[in-house]
Amino acid sequence: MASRRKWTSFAVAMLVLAWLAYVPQFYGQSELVPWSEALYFSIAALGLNLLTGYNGQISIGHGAFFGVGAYTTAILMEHNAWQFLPTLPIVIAVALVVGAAFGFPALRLKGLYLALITLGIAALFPDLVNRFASKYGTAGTSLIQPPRVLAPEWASGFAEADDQYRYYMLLVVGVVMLILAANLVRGRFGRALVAVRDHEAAASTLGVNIARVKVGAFAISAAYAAVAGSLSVLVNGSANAGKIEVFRQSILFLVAVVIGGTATVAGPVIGAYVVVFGQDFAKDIFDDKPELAPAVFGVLLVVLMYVLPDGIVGGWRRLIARRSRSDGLPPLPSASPAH
Amino acid sequence: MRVALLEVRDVRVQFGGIVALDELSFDVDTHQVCALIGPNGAGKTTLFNCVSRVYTPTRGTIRFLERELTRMEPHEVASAGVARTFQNIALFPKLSVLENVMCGAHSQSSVGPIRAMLGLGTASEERRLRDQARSLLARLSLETYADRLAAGLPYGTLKRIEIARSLASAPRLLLLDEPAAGLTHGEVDELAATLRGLREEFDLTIVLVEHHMGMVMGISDHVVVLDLGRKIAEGTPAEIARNERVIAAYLGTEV
Repeated sequence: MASRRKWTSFAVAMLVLAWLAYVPQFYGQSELVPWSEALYFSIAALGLNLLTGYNGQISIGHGAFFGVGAYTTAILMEHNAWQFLPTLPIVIAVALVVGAAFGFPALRLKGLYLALITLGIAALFPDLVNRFASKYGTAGTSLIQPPRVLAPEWASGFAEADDQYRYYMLLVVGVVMLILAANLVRGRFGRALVAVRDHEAAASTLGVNIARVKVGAFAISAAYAAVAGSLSVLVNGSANAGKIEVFRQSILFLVAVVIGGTATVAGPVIGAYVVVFGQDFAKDIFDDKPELAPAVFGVLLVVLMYVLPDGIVGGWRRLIARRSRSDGLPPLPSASPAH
Repeated sequence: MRVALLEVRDVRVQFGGIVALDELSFDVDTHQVCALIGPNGAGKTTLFNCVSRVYTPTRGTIRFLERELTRMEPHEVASAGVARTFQNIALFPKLSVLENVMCGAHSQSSVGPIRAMLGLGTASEERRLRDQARSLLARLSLETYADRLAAGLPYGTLKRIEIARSLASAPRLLLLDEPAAGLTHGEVDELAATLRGLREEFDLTIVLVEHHMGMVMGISDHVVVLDLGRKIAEGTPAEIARNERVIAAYLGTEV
């Protein structure tokens, strides 16, 4: 029974992957942009879900870690003439350190207070970038436009155009990051994340080092956001840190996690696609009044959360549970009187 | 010289002006069942919290297997061989019953985040933890609940799951905080029999905080009575039952 469900979700995942691999052949250059955006968005949401969904630490500051990744890659490519892929290990190392540095003060904070402090990170980041990165940027600004990654000769069979090639790079990195996250939450460390979220004192008596788990979750999720930021340079051709943009991204990552389903593997990925394509959809509804798009997107989110309070994956699971209960499985053990 | 498994010496715990424990000393011998009794607010759970390092005593020492517990970090106590349950059930509600018990073996397993991500060693460790958890659940007649979430089950069942989880860390010393609270008469008798069996099987030493006198008198070898943070008596259950200070503390009359 359980293994049949496992095979079903594996088959669904393979179908989705096949479709995502086919996307660049199906869509033209401009239509490919949101598909690429959704990929790096998924990675950021995956990481934030490890922190917020599994470990219960709310962050509205991951736009800053996203920016750290984007700038690390952009500066290395623009000023040190690095290729794109070799920048990724550096991005991960830098983000792990920066994430851990923020994880330590977070040990003393919970819930709304932590959310507020992380919001502060998002507010601070653009100023820091303007102060330090403007010497790298064009015309004294913090906008950095490194050379674009071009499709190599050997890839001409499946990716003639450069944006197709870049999309495949994103897809490969995305799949790797998804597998790593799925592995992480499956075993001992994943259970420790949830245990710390749900009952710190009990987790600690079982031998879980609370500080190490919390700081570790922060660092890993920061690395995910940074890799996403790094990949965004691939798509957008630039690293930038507008004040509003960093805020917006931070919040949208959280939205993706919540809409998709917190503490589920597939949830944040689904949520990321909903966020990216939901905004496009909102724009298309009133073509002539683009200023209405955010309102339409907002209404969409409200409706989604109203219908599926525990996210898309949560709602799906409830549906399955209801169906299998009416399938004639043995009834749940009846409650014996407690008194 | 006989060496006690757990040695509590002159422990004092003070929260601001309130003295929760004062000059508390007692020993628990290997393989003993020691009951900690006393009226509400006597400091029984406070002592548990000191042993499991939720609190640090203001003064005094707690030695376990000749190691000083008060110098350990809270998460080190489990691998030292001490496990506990909580007065209000402290299971993880979003994990299945089986996963809760597997969580109990955290100190007995080692795959960290990096190896986990790369999938190195997870499969064999998970198999080992799952088998161990299943056999513990079977031992406590809980196997039917293995895949249920650890929330919304009957109270007595949840208490047994918590005991199963605490056993997963292969403890030498088990601290049980009011295991019989909220159970029916039948369940209390069953629990007493289970605890006696577990003590033999896993070579456990048990310290329990309990209000249910039938249970205390039935399974303990040794009873320590606290009142307002101080030890007022200790001895065998029979001695305690006729101790006048104990009767006074419970019934509230002057000696």
